[in-house]
Amino acid sequence: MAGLKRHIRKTSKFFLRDNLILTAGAGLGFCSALAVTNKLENSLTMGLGVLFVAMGSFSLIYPFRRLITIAGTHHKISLLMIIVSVFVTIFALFAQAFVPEVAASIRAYIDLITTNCIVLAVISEGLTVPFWEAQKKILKACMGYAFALVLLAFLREPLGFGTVMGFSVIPETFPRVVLMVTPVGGFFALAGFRLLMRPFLLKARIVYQEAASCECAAAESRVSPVPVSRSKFGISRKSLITIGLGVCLFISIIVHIRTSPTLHTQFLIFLPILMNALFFDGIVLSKLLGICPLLNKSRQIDAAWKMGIAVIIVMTLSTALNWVVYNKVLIMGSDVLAKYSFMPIRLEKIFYLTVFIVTIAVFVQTLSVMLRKFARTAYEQMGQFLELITVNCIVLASATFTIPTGASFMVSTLTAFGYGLHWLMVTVWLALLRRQRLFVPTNAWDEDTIAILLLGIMAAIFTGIGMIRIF
Amino acid sequence: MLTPLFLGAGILAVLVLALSLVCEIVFQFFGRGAKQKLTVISDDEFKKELNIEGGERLLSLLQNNGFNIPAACGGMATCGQCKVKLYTDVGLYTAVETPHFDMRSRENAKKFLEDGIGDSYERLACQVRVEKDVRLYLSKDALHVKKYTARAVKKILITSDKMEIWLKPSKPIAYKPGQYIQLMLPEDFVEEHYKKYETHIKKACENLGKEFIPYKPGNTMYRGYSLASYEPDLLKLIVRLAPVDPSKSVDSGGAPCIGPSCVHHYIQEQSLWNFFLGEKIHFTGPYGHFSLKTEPHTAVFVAGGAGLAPILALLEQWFIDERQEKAIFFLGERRLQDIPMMYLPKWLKWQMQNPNFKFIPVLSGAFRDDDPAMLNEIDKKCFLSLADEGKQLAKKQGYIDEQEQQWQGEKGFIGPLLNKYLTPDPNIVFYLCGPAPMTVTVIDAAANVLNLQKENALFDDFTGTLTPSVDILYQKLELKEKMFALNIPDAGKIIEKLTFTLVVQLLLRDKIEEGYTFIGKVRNILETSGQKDKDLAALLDSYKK
Repeated sequence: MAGLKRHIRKTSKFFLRDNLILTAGAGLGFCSALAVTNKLENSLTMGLGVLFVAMGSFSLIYPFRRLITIAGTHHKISLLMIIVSVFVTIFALFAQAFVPEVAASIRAYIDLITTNCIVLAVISEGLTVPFWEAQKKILKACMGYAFALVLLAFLREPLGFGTVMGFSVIPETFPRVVLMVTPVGGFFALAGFRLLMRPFLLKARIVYQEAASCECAAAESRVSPVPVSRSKFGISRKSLITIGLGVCLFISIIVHIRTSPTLHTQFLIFLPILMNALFFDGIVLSKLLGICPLLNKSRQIDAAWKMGIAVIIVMTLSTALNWVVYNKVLIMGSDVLAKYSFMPIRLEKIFYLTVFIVTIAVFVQTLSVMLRKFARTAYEQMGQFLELITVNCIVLASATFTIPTGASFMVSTLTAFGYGLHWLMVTVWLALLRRQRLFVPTNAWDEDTIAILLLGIMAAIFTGIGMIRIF
Repeated sequence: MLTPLFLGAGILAVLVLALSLVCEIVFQFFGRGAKQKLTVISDDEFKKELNIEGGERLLSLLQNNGFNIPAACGGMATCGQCKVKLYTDVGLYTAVETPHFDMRSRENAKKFLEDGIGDSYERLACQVRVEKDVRLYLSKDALHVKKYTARAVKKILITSDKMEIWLKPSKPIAYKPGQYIQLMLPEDFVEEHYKKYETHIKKACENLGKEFIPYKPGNTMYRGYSLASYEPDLLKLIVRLAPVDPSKSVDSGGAPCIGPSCVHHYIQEQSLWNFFLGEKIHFTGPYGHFSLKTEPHTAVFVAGGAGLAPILALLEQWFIDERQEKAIFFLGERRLQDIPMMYLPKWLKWQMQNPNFKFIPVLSGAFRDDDPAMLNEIDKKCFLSLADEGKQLAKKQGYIDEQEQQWQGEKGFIGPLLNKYLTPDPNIVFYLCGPAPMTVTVIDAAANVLNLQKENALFDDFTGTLTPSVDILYQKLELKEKMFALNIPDAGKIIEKLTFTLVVQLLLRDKIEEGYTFIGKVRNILETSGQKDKDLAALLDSYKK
């Protein structure tokens, strides 16, 4: 009997222990978990997609692990990404064929499985262990992810729509919580889940209280004042005056821009785009992307600033580069192809993901190598952050959200810049808020949960701002 | 028909290749680092030197070289799993790393980097760039140790608290007698054990003066067991079933075992899903250099409790090799019932047939506050279970009296008996295995009485505390000679007290660091102080509480 009990124990832990979304201290894969879980069918599709992509691409990558080692670290991510993105494309095509409605509503997030933190992490970790052991680990991580998604959907769908998988479960008279349908609800649902489940999981000894929790909190509060009080970005009197002058200049430019008609028309197009990307349709607060690095890097204000600036640089430049590659190489290549072919092959429709991610990877690698060589100090400050964002969903998202829609060069780049600025803004705000220690959380788990809650509140405020029609 | 398809693929390939080429060219021109050396150190004297190119991240270097470093986030400094212990200073934490380290490790790192105290500190491997020669420590899980599977085919209770377990490995394993293997305990089993007995273990640790280490998920636990056998296709282990604290049984609230020493519980557990004979067990090994020396020497085997296992293997080899040198086998047990009756006749026979071999069982009666000389009911029952031949031998060789009422062999502890059976001789080699108190005291006595050389005391150090303990004991020996040379009044008595403090209060409680400081203080007093005897007495008093 003891054996049976052990197996039950093991299976229950299989899903809940080390679950990257529900129980891990440092969360991964939050972005899609929040964005797609307003319906159960979305969750299932997404979970299946991650499982398929991770296991399939790993099977294909594993025989080439020697090649990846020999090629060197600077090619590793591009090589992994090519295969992963091909599998994502295959899955996206399958999803379009079999569940067209679901695929249409979460298409953007299916594309972003490419940069799902979980997929890349389990693959690169799996390369060091035997094949089947790695597959087991991948299965575990992906099943855990799918399980968390389904759990979240079970909370959000009945509350928001009153249905489960399209079947009505809650009587019509019961009030619908619209909040749960919106992206903002995702934050609250996840935070709620994590807060509610914590005591039970602790009680059942599925998770453990971190041993050095109080020490950790004490250490942070003691160590933290040093980087904060240095206040490289703090507001002194001089900088206040400068900012004030800058604002005056900005306003005067806006006021006087009408005098130059060409500039005026440009301005009328671009300002709304920038404002939209920056505030009303932000990549974090309404598209729910880039949350894992955000939660993690916002633990320290110093790190938040540097990471944010690195994100802005990489996003703007890589999106500009991607626009060139997409429009000048892929589309023109397809046009050339169309002349010779009987059937219409549009490369940009199928392979845009692969091209985008490879471009980004190459760009970031090149940039960091150059920085390391020519600007040592800048590299020491920013370099590590640069490389952290190669596989960041926001960088890919800023390309996939703008370029395939046929946006012009300026519009894509400006949107990407706005997204980057938005990310920086949210990260620094969150870092400042977390520094205030609103609830004095006792461990990393609760701290992350509270950060998610704070993000939720911020998202709610921004949704409110978005409702106001200015333009 | 296919041409456009090929063309399309060609365009893509050219694009990707061109991009990679750009990356490669930039790397070749600007990104190349100098040649560096990476040294990986681990348990069981594992050491590997890698020649690598500098400038890369430690995590990817290690992963590319086949070390299994967990990194759930793939090197984004998000999960904090890729912590490694570094012996080389590679700079302080980066901003993203700091939240992953608690107070203790931060202070430790600060001390190591700024003041040079301690020998290592931790960093996240994904945030370290290798710009110079680096030495680092990896835990066993990260290495690809050869794992074997075996099935526990037979379990024999050899005494009330010892069990012999026979493992049948899936393929024969070459090992030397005296080596040990490390059984792997499944994580969930260890966890369940801690769940059940956590308070007990904590209490037992407090009583024994040891540090309690709470359970931490994520690591596989290993427990070393010496092999009592010499056949390649059948491994025998001796497992002790007694609780940690001998004065408290499991039923009355004592802890069954501390940490990963519960292998026997695991092996005993029956599984519904097991369709084959015996429980499936994973282990790594064999390890250790605990084996017979080839040059001629007088061998002294000292075994106690579950430490019997490697000694059994060594003895077997001794007689298989037909060694003719003098050999003495001390077996320290509490009562007659603790001597495995299964082996007794064999030992007695060896003693009868080989004039050079002597078997000396020593009964201490410790922890039960009774006289081991008077056999109680259990002892008698145990003795009765012997075959007639064995009984006759035991009586004839003078261990048991004719009425089977009394133990007539040696009593007490092994240490004081040494000079009764042995004379100082540079050619003596001690093979010791048993509880730490026994090992430490016997080595101390042997060093004092027989002038045993440090390199001639052989033992397996499972806990990692024995080797430094013995080192301290030999330092103490030097001090003793110094004390006699300085003509300190009552030197003998002071030495006795000093030994007691050192062994009982410090070494047996695993306080190795304090042991070293204690020795240092004593040496300091001997070298500098004016009133040496008074200062020594004061020092001893300060340790009395």
